[in-house]
Amino acid sequence: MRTYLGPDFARLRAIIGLLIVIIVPIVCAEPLNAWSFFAFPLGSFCVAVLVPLGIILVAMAVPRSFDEETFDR
Amino acid sequence: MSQKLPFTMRVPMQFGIALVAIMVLCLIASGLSQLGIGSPGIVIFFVICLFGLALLSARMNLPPSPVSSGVVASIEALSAFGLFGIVGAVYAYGHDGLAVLVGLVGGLCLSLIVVAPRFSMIASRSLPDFLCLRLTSEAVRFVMLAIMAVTTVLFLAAQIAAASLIASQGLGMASVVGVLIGVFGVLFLTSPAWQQRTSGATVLAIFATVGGLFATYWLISTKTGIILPQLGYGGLYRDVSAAEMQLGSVQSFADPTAGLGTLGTLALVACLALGAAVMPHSIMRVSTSGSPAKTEQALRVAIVFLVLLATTLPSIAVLGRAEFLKQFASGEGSLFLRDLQSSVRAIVDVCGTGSASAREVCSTNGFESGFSVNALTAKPEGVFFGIASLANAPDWMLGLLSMVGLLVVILASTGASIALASAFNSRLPKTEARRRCWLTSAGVVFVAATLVVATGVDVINLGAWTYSLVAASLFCPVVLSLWWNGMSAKGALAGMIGGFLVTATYIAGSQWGGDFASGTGDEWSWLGVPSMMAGVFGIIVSFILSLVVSAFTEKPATDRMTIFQETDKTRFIANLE
Repeated sequence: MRTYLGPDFARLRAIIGLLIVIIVPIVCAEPLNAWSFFAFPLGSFCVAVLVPLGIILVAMAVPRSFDEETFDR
Repeated sequence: MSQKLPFTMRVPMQFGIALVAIMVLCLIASGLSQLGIGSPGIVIFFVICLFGLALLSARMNLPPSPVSSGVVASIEALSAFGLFGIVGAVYAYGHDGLAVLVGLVGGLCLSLIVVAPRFSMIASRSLPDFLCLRLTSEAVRFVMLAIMAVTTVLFLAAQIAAASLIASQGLGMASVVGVLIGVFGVLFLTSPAWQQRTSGATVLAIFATVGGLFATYWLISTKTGIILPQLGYGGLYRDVSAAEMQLGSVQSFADPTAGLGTLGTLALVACLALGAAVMPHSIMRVSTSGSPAKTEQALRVAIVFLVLLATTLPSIAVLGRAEFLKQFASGEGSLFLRDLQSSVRAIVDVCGTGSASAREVCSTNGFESGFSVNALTAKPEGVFFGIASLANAPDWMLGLLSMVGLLVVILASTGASIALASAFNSRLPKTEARRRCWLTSAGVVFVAATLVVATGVDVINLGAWTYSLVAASLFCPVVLSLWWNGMSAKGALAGMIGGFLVTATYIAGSQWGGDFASGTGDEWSWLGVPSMMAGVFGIIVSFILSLVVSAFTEKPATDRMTIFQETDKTRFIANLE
């Protein structure tokens, strides 16, 4: 049975994940920077460090193709 | 010897050797500095070492692998635009400048998800050849070659403009010396003899990565006491905020609404990410591995290295901003602004007075007691080198930054010119193609160098325009051709031409206006979008035209998509197992 959680939608999920990882921190940066709980601007820290790390996680989650030479994934 | 080691040991060893070599170079440069050799002499020492390194690397014989392709791809994706642009944009726009970093990294990830691995399933030698095969149209190939030629010239011009900055700020020489160094470097690296040595670019890319990381880690750790630059933000931002408050600055560095605004930031991210995803030289670099699996591996490596390098750059910008404001607030600022030393003039402009002397600026604007911080405007392209002077870094740091800058410039220029030359000469026999490639590369580099010398356009605008034009003209046609059965040749042509024309027209209109002269007040401003984000209009136009025209025109034979569908089916079954 094909479901949205199945492997054939993995690429679509990766695109949605990438959009979330990029857009949400940028949109939320202003309130996060204004949050006085942290002594530094949390929103800027998220965009500068956590967004790139999130992009790496998305890249690692993209389904891997088979290598025709070694048959590894 | 290194080839006998297992792969997991080989890569760390290559990076370790590069780190030791760079530390030795810095020690020698430090010794030369103690002997009384000045800053230009130290930078020249590093540049000579760079050419020695290039000659040495051509003699090495490292086996090609997805990892080496990935390391080179990360440097090519960063390019001079990333190196100067991330630092300059964060310094100038504060928080919103981070859009450059997010856009470039996000673009590589987007390429991994929807472009490069699928492109490598068809053994095409270039993107135009792929579209020609997929859509059975020679016209598509010619139009795409024309767009690639324009965008490659702009991309190369950005790199050469960066080389001229390195010459003027690092070497203290005329900008044209940097242009000549850049052109010579590209001609050397695109020569047939060098191209037969696949390991040369890898060695240079490893040195660029290690050198860049070493310089940023050293600067941040000595100034803040924190080893990881990524964790130094908090303290540096606090310093900036405190100095801004003390100086009564009207612009807050950490305020996301003060620079480009949230929508402007998202627009810039979109232009850069979509452009980076289909940037022809990046796709060609990772696709040379030969299979979708190896292409994906190369892209993952490229993303990791790009993140490693690029996330350290904003901390340098924040450090520079903090140092500048601190010195300004403590009174030293008024001194160095009065003198307007070259290092400071490279970073800021006072009341838009360009090269006017300090006394002229003071008498014109009535600044008898010194400048207000609000009278200063940042010059983003000059920040990368200016920070070394602001932070009172030793001379060898300026030399190391120059070497890293030149390595990035030369590698990115070589990748772009080779991608264009390969696309132009893809139908020639291999030996003939190699010779013609060099001639084509030389021609493109000379055109780009002439553009830089004649117009003097800066590296950040040129880079941003390139990404905008590529995103607007190529992203939709290429991605739809890869994933949609219904894409037609006429749809692709309409999307490419429409997106390109809208973006190019808006860049010209918003930069120069109807009279083709900047600063005369007739420049366009649609919805307040600056020229560096001109791609947002073109992307929308390209998407609509590609879909609508394809819907009403004849589609190519669907068997061209069979290879994609078969591979998808295999992957789906394999994932289930």
